[in-house]
Amino acid sequence: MNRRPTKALLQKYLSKTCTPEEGARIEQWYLDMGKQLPEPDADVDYVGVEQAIWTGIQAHMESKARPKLRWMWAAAAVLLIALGSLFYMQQGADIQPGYIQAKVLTRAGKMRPAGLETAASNLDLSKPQAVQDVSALITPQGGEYTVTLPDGSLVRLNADSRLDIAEDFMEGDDRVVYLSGEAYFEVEPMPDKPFRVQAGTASIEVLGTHFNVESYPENQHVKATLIEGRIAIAKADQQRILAPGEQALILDGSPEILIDKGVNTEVELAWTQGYFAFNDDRIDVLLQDIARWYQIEVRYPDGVPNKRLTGKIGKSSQIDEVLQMLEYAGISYEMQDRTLRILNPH
Amino acid sequence: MSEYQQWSDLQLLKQIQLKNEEAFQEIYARYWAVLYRHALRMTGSEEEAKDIIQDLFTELWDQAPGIQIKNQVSGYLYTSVRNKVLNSIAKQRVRTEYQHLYQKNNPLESHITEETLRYRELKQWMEQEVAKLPPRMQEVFLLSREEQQSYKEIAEKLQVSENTVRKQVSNALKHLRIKFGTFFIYIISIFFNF
Repeated sequence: MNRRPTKALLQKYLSKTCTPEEGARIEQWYLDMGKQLPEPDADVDYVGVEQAIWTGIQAHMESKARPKLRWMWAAAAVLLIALGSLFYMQQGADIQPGYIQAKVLTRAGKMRPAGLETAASNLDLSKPQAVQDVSALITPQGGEYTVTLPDGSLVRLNADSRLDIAEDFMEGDDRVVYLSGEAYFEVEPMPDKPFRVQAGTASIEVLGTHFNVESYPENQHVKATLIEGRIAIAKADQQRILAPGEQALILDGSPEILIDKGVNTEVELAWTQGYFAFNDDRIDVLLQDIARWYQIEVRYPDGVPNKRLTGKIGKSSQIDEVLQMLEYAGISYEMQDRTLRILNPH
Repeated sequence: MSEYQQWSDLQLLKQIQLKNEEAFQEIYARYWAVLYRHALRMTGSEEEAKDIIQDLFTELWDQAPGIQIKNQVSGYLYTSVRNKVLNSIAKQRVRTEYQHLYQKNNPLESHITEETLRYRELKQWMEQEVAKLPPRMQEVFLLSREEQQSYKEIAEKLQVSENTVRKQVSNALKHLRIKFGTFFIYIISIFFNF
């Protein structure tokens, strides 16, 4: 006999307080009963239902996402601890390379995931039908994203970066964007409307050109590398003009603009070509890029090893391959809980 | 189209735990129809089935960080939808057929006592219903499903990474899909499913 369970028993089952036998009986009853039920009507409007349910879910997600910041921080802390122990148990198997993703901040102050349009430009703001309410693009750690600005200029944002577009970008005297992090620019020439990148305290003015700007706050500098064309870089009352192949470096807190005339542009732009390239770079400098892409933390309990590395590795590599590279270079390390500890026994 | 189509359920879940909305959308695209079809059959009400699926996915989003998947993400979803239907039954929000059904004796008197066997039966039953969905929804589900299982098997056999297999199989699939259309999807489902 397999009778319909009573309401009380079902509630016991759902609150997981019933015995294994009772549970087995309910689950078996469910299967037997289900198979006796008639087919649902064939003419369900699946497309309509899919949309309706999704709309309901999204409304819920938005209502959760906005207020209660304090609560979210607490939840984030719990999540970190939970994930930390999970990763610990799985010993790094979960660490994935980054991929194309970003969030859009709208003029109304709302945040939404940025879509993916084509491989060449993930978001095209130059199309007449494009939504013109984008105020900023934000890539997380492990993210990368390419946007076409309203003037047709292309900006490729590296991981953990933010690009703000001035509200009067097309209407003002110049086209202004604000950068924190790293980006590669291909600027459309507009002779009467210069393009200006504001990065930290430095301002880079261009007419039409290809260049890379790196200004991660933790690096405490702004670095601009010119590939093609001409740019002027300014800080306070200083200004320098860069020629192709030159790199300007401004250290935080210093008014001086340092120029490197023999920079390896291929290495500087490797990230836009899908790999990391290192050219006699210090371990801590190159591991910063790695950490941003794989969302790991790097620590140096014994200090930074006095070694420099040259080489390149694909950005879609698994973290194991990256670690192997360190091993080949004779660097010992320990990987645990998404934290990479560089050990330096000497 | 999103690149997440190539990801396994488990990879997606890990992204959902980090509040990645696109990954969440992909899981929704994969499973909503199968789960809805099941809830519809069990409750007999489009409205109730819709509520159940909406609840299930909002809970997945909210509670993802705490979810520990023992075997498969699908298993979590299937047992969740069952529990939600049982909850509706307990609250008597479902079709009247139940009133009659429960009085019939079960013709097969034997209980399956093994929990995993009961789970497997539930899973098979739900997934068989896929054939009754519109072709586009079948495709999203079956492809994600079969690809994951087969990649793992092939990767283990050939001792190469799952990613390598994924790339090669996805190229081959593209080619075959053009040749055979939807029919091909049925073929792989027969070979890999159970």
